[in-house]
Amino acid sequence: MSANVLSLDAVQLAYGDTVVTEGIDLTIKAGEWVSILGPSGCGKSSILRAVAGFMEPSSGSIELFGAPATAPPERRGVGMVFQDFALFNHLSVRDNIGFGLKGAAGAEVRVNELLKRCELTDLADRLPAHLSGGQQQRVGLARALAPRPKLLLLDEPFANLDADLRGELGSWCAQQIQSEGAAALLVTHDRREAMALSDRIAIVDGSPGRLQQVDQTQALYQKPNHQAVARMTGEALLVPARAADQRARSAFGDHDVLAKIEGSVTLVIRPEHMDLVPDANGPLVVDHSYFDAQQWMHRLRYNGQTVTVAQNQRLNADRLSLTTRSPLWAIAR
Amino acid sequence: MKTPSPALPLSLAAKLGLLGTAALVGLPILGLGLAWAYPVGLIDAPPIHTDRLVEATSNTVMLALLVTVFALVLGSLFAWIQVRWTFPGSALLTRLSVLPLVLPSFLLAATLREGLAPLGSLGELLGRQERFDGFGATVFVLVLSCTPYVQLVVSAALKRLPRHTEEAAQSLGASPSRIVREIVLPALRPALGFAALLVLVYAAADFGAVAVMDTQVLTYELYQFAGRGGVQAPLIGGLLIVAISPLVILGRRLGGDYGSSELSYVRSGHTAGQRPALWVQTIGTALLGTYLVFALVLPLMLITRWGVLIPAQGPLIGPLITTAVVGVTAGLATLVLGGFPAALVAQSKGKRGALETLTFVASGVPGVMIGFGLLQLALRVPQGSLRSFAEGGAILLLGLALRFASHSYAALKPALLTQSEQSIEAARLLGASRWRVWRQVRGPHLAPALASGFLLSFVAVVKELPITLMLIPAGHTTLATRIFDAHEDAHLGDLGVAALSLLGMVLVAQALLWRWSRHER
Amino acid sequence: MRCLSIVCILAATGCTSKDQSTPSAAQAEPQAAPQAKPILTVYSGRSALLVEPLLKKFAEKRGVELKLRFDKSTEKLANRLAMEGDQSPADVFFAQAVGYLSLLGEKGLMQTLPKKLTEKVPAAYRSASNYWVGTSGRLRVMVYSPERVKNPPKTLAELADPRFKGRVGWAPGNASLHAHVAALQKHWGADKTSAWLKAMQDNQPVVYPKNSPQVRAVSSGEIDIGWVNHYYLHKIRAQDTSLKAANASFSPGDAGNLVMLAGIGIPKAAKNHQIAEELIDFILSDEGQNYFAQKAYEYPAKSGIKLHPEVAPLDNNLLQLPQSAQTDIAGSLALLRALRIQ
Repeated sequence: MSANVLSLDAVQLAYGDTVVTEGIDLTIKAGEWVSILGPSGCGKSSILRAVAGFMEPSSGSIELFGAPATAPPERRGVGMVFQDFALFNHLSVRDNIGFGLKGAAGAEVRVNELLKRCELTDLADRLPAHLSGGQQQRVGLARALAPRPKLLLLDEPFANLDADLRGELGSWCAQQIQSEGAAALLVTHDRREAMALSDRIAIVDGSPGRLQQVDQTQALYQKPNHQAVARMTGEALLVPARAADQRARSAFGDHDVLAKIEGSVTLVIRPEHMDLVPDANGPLVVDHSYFDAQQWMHRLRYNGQTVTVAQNQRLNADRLSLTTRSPLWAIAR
Repeated sequence: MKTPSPALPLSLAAKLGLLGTAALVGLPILGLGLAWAYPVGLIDAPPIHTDRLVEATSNTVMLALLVTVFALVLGSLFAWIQVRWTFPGSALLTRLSVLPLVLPSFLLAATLREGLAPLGSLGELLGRQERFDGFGATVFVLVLSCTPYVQLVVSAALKRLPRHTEEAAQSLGASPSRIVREIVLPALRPALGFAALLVLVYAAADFGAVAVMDTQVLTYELYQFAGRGGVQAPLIGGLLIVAISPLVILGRRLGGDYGSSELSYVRSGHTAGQRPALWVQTIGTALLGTYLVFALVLPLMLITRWGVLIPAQGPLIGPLITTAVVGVTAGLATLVLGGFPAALVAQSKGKRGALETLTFVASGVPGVMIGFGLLQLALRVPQGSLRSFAEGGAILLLGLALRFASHSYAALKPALLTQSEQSIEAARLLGASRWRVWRQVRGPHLAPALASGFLLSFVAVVKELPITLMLIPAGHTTLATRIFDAHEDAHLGDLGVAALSLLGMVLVAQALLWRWSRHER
Repeated sequence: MRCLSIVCILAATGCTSKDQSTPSAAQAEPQAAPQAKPILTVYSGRSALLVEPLLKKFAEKRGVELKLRFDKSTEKLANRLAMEGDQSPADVFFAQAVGYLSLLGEKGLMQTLPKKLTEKVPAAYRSASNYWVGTSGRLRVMVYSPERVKNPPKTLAELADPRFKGRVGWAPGNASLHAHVAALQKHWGADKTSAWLKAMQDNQPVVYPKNSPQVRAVSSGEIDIGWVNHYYLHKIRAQDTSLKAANASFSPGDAGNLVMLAGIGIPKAAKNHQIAEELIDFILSDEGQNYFAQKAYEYPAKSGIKLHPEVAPLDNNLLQLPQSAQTDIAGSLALLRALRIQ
């Protein structure tokens, strides 16, 4: 039918009587990378488990490769990479990777190929206990890719790794998955990770978690349809205002607004929109300034919100005032 | 480079304690040697029949192996039902199936022998023609006795298994049976090895059940030849040590460092049990039900009937008090004897494997052997205050402490290992004196482990038979010896009443223990 | 609080074990504190449950503190006495079979008893060398199931008949059995006794640690016949009226029809032999002898004491043997051990 690898339609997930996520509508095309971004506890891991077949949706439907997903996990043809690596501790790296191939013809060739690609050949006979975190996750990915799944599920796979390793491993993972031609569904709470790796991002927020918006990264950033989306995609100051005729008035004065929208709105002021000026009576309080390799970062407080803004020079002031220099996005209230 | 520990007294005391422990462990062996070198007997000692010794040794080994195999299978099955499956009655039945561990093996043996006799309550129902005694019956009784221990160990391990590895295997296309075979069983290997060790040693060292069932194994032979003069008894004692020590060492190697190192787990989310096929449910329920009938229902029924319907001959209050006193003091003594090696091993961050093995070997030595050795030693001490001190209870406490030191060791070592030196350093920087550090940092951290070590030992001491039988001061009885004597005298009323009291005591202590360990987790 | 308790643990062992011994006042040194009662130490191979009440009664009356060491095996107790030698704290040795007392006497470990004690019982009940005096007699019988055994054996020899294979029980560790085998050696001679014992062994008898379990075993169907002393049936039936068993005697004059004596003596090392003699006197008094007759269903040593109504009086059916016949315990044990029965 369609080239959709995965299709979630109004999926609701519950444990017993407790609903953890609902209203999930999502499709993933072949070869596409979609990330589910959201804070902890909004049930995003449950979505992955439902796709993998470890739990049934309490309502809604899941389609895998164009057919309803009814098979047990071992027959879905979906690969999975885990946060805690979940390697088989009593098997060597080689045997871990070859596990899903069940000694089929060409298994050895495939395993060697993956060992080479993931730079694990020297470690092929080691046990997981003797590997570093990064090495273990590489094994985890190689193992999941070995059976050539068309869809790969990644459950916060880099959360247990050192910060500097995360970025590296993340992009390396994306490369491997792309060269296999598989689609990927990543679950993470790390915005930078989601943005670096995904074609599209689905923002899930709330308790129970709800799908707020699904779109390409830049679109989400520039045109969030919800305050939560705005916050999750970057630094923002969310300011109430009254809009009319592509102009809006807020406590900071008047601003240009991108779309035609009337009435009460919330303006999304990103750091790149801000012109900041020291002002003893200004509404923005400077909490803390520090130098961060190329720029001066200023953490500002306004009305209970905190936003961190980069400037080329240090703003030596306790309070600042703000004007905006480009049209802003407004969310209807 | 270790940062110097702030509690210097602990280190010194631990070293002294170690020396003392080594000396104490050697005492039963010394007694054995004295009995060998200076045999005393009024009547000519029985001649040594090597074929009888060989038969007893092979019986001991076969008994241990058979019981281990069956108990492992049955206990693992019950553990699996408890953790992985859910069906009507499974939760209740698997909770009940652990209860038989409050029944000492000799009590179970006595009730089953009577109950399964041709005209016994169950024997008549089953149309039995044969007596229920001998080697086969002993295997049966000991399997019933040991299964709860296996269930406890394996179920704990199953709960700790990271679920994600099984899910990973599923996502790679492995069928459920392949997952059990290739993922779960290898992961359970340390726990299974540990359980196997427990049962091996328990069965090889058992005295009560084999005595009641009149089985020709080394422990019962030793008891029968003890006090008869001649070298028969010390010879058997030596054989016992030689037979059991390699078992202990092997078992330790199989199970690895199980139990003391895995302290933190990634607890995967929700682990409700699956519902298996109906035929599986039926078999599981039937197995559990049958087990409970033999291991719990029949014994309790008989004990209650005897205790209530048949008048007791002797007073109960004496044994009751004696049992409580012995239980408490021996429990405390065990804390000391097990605590010092634990402290020492914890100080060297778990490196002194040999010391740990020694502790477990000391506790693996059968009670009969310890009792015999210490008694022979005491008998050769000239009359006087030392002798009176020894026979007045000191050797009893020592024997029990040696036998059960591993309980308190196993409870204290993890607590001592996880005692964060950093929290102690933080406290001292905040101005806490050494005593205050003990009172408010070390103490509360150790308290649950001390309590559970004490309770474990208390329960073991109260159920213990051979050491108590041989070393209790003259004129005193405990509930356990009362039960054993009452069985030999066929005073079923006394047996029943004493058994009910013993079970009551054990249940209370065991309940406290389970409450404590749940708090700790 | 915690540190205090941990430090106390170290002291606990020493403290409490001493406390443990105080109730029975284990100090055997003669210098007791002033006002302390004298301590009478009794070694008993007879059941504690049986003899303790009687001994306690004496202790109360006489104002002494009783220390009882009990062992179900009179042999082990005798060995212990021998090992302790003249350092033994035992004041009185109460044996299940007088043969052990004779043995101890032969090894020079027993005192001779004064005539005033030994003359309280008929000659058959006292030791020829005055090492012991019998306290009660126990008739050797069979306990059997009338339902399953229509024709119990008439003679001891018949007990070894193959038709009873696997259905007979005995207690080779029991002192009364040792004494009976000693008597058989005198009466039948060593060869016949040996042959009979071998035949019994071939019949795969069920071994019990004592006599009383055999009564229960008959009732529960484990065995059909047990070789025991007469009084166990009465005692157990008194506790449990549902018992299905009965006693059967051997035919008149048969080697199975013997009375074995339980007895009492004073070790040479006794420190309180004055009080010991008083104890023996008490046991041989009407009060003591009535106790054994009524509570233990036994045949009192002293003449003129009424038997328990359930117990049949001894008649001329007994095999008449000199009392020395049942005292060669050493020989009996040697034979049993050579045949690997014991």
